[in-house]
Amino acid sequence: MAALSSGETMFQENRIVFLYCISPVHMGAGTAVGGLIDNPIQREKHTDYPVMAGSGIKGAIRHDYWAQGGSDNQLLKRIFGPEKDAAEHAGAVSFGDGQLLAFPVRCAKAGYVYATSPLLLARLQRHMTLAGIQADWNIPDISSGHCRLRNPDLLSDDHIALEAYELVAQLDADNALGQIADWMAENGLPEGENYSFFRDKLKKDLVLLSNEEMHYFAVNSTVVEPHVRIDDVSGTADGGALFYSENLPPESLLYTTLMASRERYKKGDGGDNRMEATQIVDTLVNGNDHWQGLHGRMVQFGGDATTGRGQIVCSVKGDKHD
Amino acid sequence: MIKQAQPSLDQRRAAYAWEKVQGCGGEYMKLAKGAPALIMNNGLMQTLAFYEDKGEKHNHHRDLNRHIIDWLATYLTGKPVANVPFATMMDALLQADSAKYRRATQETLALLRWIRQFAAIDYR
Repeated sequence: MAALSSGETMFQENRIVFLYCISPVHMGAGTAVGGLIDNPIQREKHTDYPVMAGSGIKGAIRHDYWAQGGSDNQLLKRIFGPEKDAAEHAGAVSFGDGQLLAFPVRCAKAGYVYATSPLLLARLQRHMTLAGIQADWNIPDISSGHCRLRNPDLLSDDHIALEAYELVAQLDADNALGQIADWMAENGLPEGENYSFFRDKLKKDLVLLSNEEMHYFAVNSTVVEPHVRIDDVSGTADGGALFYSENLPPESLLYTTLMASRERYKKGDGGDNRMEATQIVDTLVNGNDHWQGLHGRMVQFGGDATTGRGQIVCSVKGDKHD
Repeated sequence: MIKQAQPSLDQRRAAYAWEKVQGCGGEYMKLAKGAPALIMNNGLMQTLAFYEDKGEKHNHHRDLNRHIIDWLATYLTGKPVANVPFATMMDALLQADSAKYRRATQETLALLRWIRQFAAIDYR
């Protein structure tokens, strides 16, 4: 990284971008060795939770901007950095890794519930604080085998059945989880009528699991799809080409950090008319005459775009988006 | 006192898997390849029941089920067990609490990592 001029921090603007999956998402880890699935998704090393690498997020958003056309390829370079000579200057935006916040788990009484855990919530809270955004809810404790929920309709006696597993459920008497669910629905899910069903569902059906059970579902309850090759002549499955691909399930909710700096320029160039960080982030998030901004937009992330994978709606939280 | 070093649980899974896959053939290899997906999408007991049903006519279903069930019995009881009847394993799983059933599922998936890998080598 090049030295910064005095008094200038690397990034001046911070946002949190929530990523709501509306189709299965395959951010591929490459070929697995000794895995359960031939074609696994990216996972964080120390937690094994699904993750979306920041490079993949940045690339997908850059491509979305490019694909929208517009007239100004120069602007792509100014925001995201040079296409080829990466050493010339840095881009003005940075994306963090997409981290998990809520994961859908099968529940016969509700179709599915949104599962989260103290660890996932604490990590979000840390990011929100660093980005200077208010998220001052309290995270309840929960022990293995137990969960906390708001909606009594999910209960069978004092239990909830998630997939084949029963957990002892306690109702959210002090509304600690309720506050988190309301906050999450209003901030993390897309705005507008189209998503009101899902915002309401998240408010009702957010379930706080222990870190242990969250880990189990996040590792073992992804969408695993077999793929075969179709023989052109017979139109039936061709033998020998079978493989299994893993996807994040639709209704998963993740978030990433978006940071912006003042526009950078090639050493030796004048650096006149540089865009300020606020301008950079505003252009990216809200768009301009040629581009739709990121806020509220469906962007395709990861692989298998031509079979409907990777559709994620982005909601930006931070200055001017509160 | 330094304890005598023992192979880790994962090494024991690997040793068991390597022994069991010998000579099992291509159909077994394909079945093992898809087994984790079947368990993740449908559940452990459903998958074992499905294999048991198919095992009536197909050796590879019967063999894979046998390998999983015997390993699970060993894992759950802590001592080597062979030829555990399907019904006995189902009873044990049906009566297990959620945490134990979850551990059994995880253990089966851990074993299958080795079985699907080794079955491919043996068949080749």
